Amino acid sequence: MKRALIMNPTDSVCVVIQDVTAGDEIDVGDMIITAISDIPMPHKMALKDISVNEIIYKYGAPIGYALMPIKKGEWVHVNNLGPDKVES
Amino acid sequence: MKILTFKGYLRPDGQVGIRNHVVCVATASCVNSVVSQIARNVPGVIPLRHSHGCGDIMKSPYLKRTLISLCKNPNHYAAIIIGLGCEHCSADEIAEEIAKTGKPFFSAVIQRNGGRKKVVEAATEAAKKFIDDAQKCKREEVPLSKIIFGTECGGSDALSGITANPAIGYVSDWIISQGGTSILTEMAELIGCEKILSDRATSPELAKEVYRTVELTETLVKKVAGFSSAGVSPGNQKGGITTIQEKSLGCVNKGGISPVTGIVDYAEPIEDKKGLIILDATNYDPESVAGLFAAGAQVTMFSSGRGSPLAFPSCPVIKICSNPKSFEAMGSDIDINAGAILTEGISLEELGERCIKYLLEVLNGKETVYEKNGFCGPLCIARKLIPKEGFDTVPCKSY
Repeated sequence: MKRALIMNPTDSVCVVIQDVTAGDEIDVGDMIITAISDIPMPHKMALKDISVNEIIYKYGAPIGYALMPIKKGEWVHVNNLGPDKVES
Repeated sequence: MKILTFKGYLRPDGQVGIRNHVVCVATASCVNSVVSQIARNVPGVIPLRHSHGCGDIMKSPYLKRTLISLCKNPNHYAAIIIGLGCEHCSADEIAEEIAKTGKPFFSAVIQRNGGRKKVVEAATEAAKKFIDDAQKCKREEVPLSKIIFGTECGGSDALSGITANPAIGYVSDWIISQGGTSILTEMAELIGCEKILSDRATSPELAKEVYRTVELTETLVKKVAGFSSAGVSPGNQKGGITTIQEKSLGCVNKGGISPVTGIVDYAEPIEDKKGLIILDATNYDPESVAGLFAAGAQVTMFSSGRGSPLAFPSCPVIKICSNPKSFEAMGSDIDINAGAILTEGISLEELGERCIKYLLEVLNGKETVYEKNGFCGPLCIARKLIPKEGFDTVPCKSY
């Protein structure tokens, strides 16, 4: 099974360490998540559903805001994560 | 803890080199061809060619002190300084500073000392003697507390902050535990880590200065580039890094977990400061690597995720790669494969110990991959960033 690394228990994303295809089951340590996007190694996958403007955590620290709702198992990158909140 | 030693070259000013090179520098880029000619005439002389000069003095506030500090680096047995004669950055002033260290040097000014041909002849004679004399130097056993260890990352990917940078941080903490010094730099890649670093400062004044330096860097980056994430390159993004905060949280791992004991400006020598020192330098790798060696580092460990062929002409740079893919693609450019954490299942401690073993060999004279390959790139000295709105918009920060 493909694996992903979680840097800190409070994180909302993990890092996949093999190239992932949508539908792959990913071992993230204490649970298994089904990827819903193709995700290249070593990019980020959401560990949970994240709502727009929610802070995204990696290394136990904020790395930015969700620009749109993100589903568990989805690829998290420039299209849905940014340094600033989305203005409503 | 066992206090370890290495064999290095003891210099007259008490610093210890791990290499014994003769370098040749020009005070202005107009003189680069002369520097090249001297290096061609005398094998072993390392030319440090740069693109600065008197015409761009406004953008080159660090030229003179970078040349002074670099010539003083203990990896250099002797230095040859060639001036043109009309520049602000005077060869005489540089020579005067080098003389204070007791290091052998030769300096000449083309307009004053008979033109290019005569200067090349005199410098060639001096260089031959320096090379001969350098061969007579013997390595002596010295404590590791004499080491100033530079840390750098370039072409980062999302694994740099997970494998290679923590391994560098492990080595950094170990050097400090041995009484030595480590340098963390690339301020624009510490944006978002100002609290983490200032919380580790050994005094409230230092904490304030560290916080303010990172904050000013962010202001400057925003003014010049228009957004704070300018430090995230297209290559970083392909490698899985999305925001500057994410990149910085990976970069800061190069500094391990030791307390922050000081902060120095670009090309300001660290001298006998111990512990983890922050060097206020740009995140542009060729300039920050030069800044590390100008600060007095004898060696730098440089992580890369995407792969980077950057080293330094006269001081060793150990390249550590964050992931197995890049190691496969660029193995001949890499000293240590931190991707072994993923492929061999080794722990971070095991990787860190591998790095320490390799570093000790390099300190004792083993050539790094880039030394074997004869790396001889240019010397890139930090320039002043000019905000779009003009000089007055950023109060006191410049590089």
